[in-house]
Amino acid sequence: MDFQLGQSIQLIHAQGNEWVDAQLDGSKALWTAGKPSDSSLIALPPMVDLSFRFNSRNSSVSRSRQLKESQAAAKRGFGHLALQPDTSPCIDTPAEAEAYAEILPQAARVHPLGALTQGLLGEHIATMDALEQAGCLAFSMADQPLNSTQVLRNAFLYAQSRQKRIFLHPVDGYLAQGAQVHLGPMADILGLAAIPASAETSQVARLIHLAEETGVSLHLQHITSVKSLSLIAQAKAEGLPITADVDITHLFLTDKDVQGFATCAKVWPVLRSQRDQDALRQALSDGTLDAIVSNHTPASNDAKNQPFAQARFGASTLDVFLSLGAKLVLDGVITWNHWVALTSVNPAKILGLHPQSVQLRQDQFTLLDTQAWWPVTPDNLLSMGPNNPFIQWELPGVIQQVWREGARLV
Amino acid sequence: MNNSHIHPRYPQLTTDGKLHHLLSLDGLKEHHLVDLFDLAKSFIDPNTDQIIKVPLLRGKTIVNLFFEPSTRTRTTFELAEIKLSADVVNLDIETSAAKKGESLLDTLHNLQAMQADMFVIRHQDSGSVEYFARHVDPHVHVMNAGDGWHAHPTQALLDMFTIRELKGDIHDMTIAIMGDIKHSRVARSQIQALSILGAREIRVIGPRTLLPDFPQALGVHAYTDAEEGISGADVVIALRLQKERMQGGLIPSTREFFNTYGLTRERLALAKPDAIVMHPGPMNRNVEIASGVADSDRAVILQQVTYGIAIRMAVMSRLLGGSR
Repeated sequence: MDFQLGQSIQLIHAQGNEWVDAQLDGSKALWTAGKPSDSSLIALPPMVDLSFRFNSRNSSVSRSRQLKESQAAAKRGFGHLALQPDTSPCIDTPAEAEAYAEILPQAARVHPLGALTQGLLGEHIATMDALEQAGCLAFSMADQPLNSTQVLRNAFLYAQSRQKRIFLHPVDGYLAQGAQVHLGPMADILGLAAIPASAETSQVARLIHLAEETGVSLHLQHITSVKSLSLIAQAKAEGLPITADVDITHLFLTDKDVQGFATCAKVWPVLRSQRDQDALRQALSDGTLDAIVSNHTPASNDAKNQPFAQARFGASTLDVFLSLGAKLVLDGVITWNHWVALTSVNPAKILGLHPQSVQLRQDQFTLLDTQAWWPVTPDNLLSMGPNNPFIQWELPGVIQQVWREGARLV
Repeated sequence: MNNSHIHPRYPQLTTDGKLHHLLSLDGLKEHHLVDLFDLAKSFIDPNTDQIIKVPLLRGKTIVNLFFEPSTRTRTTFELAEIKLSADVVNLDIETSAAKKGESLLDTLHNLQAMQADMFVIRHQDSGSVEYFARHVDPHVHVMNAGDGWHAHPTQALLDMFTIRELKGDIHDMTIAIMGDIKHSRVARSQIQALSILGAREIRVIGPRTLLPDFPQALGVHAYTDAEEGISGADVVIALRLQKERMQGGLIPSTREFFNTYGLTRERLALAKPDAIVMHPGPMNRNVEIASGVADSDRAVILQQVTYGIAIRMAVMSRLLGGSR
């Protein structure tokens, strides 16, 4: 859809909104100050995703896949993607980092996260400075546990000395072993090995204590449980430099969704209870959670169409991410301003991007029709991952246009 | 694959509520079970208690697909197949293509192309048999011979059949299941069967490392005190304790387990005077059950084995459309 003359659009900022009249000036969008109207069109800044993958965990990534997936992300409103380092080989050398940091045409900008320890093995600290020079803005263990508290503490001390950001997914490696689902009634009914919430909460506490002692800037990824939220809220109240995110999937699905051994709901971290989900939704607006991430992990049909225990973990979510945001707003969970804070402004800050990268400008915005709905079907996915757990859902929010640095992508 | 005849929620039932596969006891009603019990009974000679050979499945091919080693269960399935006059193929999965990198689905499709009418499948992963059932052709039937910790429906059916034959109506009974409940597909299916048949109370007994974390979700009462759990029970079922459980640190030793949770004469004395003792086999004597109890006249363990053949015959003939 092209702009009509005098089309009324509401611009959404993290704080406050403004109305503009928009039109095309040659090939460019042109905004002039406007008045409030009943238009359902909103303009949003580019989204920044703090956890993204091109493929299943520990899989190699072809260049064509890299291009296609980051272009798909751009068309769905993402401007920047933090790539988890558990590629194969993992991102623990400058050469690997450089291969992903390259700027690709009409694509979201990929920022590889460096492996915090060599080989993601949790034994030796990775060469953080060299990795940073190759484009790594932060360091992560992806989903690998870091069992040695000694190595963890040293990594924190070293990162703090060199002013590096650390992203960690809190999970106890021993309790995680072999686990397929959340420890809840569904695990007992299906007879599946399960992981208790304490596998996360005990690690959140451990990481917070070490962060406090070492002074490192710590970002906690993929929070799933109510108890973790209270630990994070308390740490924030004490003024510690700690931030946290949640996967979009966990705001919509629970452990009940694995009923019937549904491998599309087999994700890591596992889907937890309704009570956890309610608390996660609450924490979006009270400041406990700073960001929502896609944790996009595409997997082939072959990888997912398996007996439950053998199917890969992960969900393909980039296609539905913004529409699920529209649903959160429609359901009254958050406002559009919260959404912009949680998916653009805060994650840009956490990743260390320049504020301009998420500025809402007439050459850099996503135009969304908030009142249009679309059916999620395998045919209308742009991602190469068919493992989208929201297939057959009807979602609000249809992207009308995407502009990046003056070029129109949609 | 056209699966339009399959119930959308219960993959083993047709849309009109008939059994198409036997994957678990999920969604089954009392009438399904009673029908199978009646049919099973018709395969037992009332004078000799021997299984009768019938030509019901002549010309049908049944493939026993065991991904997990088993001698007893496989033998009873095979005997049931022979007694029904079916053609039987045993697939030794250790030496099959699955070990050579062929996908499970390719293996299944190849076997299906060899004109199988039914697969009897045992697999180490929960949910795997349901997965196979979703991928077979509409005319092919699947029977679960045990999947992971999830379900072992024929074992539960034969146990219920045994209780009904020897004790009568299950409605007013208290049944105590002892041992490793958490990792037991047998326990899960037994609990489901007992719920369907309306047992008054289902108890599970063991240390918390071996109990379900959410007993209420399964509709059972959990007891960590063996004496308390066994008191007043009409039926006591002891489950096999797998060696892996001890190696995994879930119990300190088999000796301590026997001392605290083993089915001994003293503990059995707390159950009703006419309580029967069951065990799905194979038994670890003096680990989960005292030798004296296993060999006593209260134990009905060998009847279970005979009834196991009859109940499997009943399920097979029902699924494959034979009737008597």
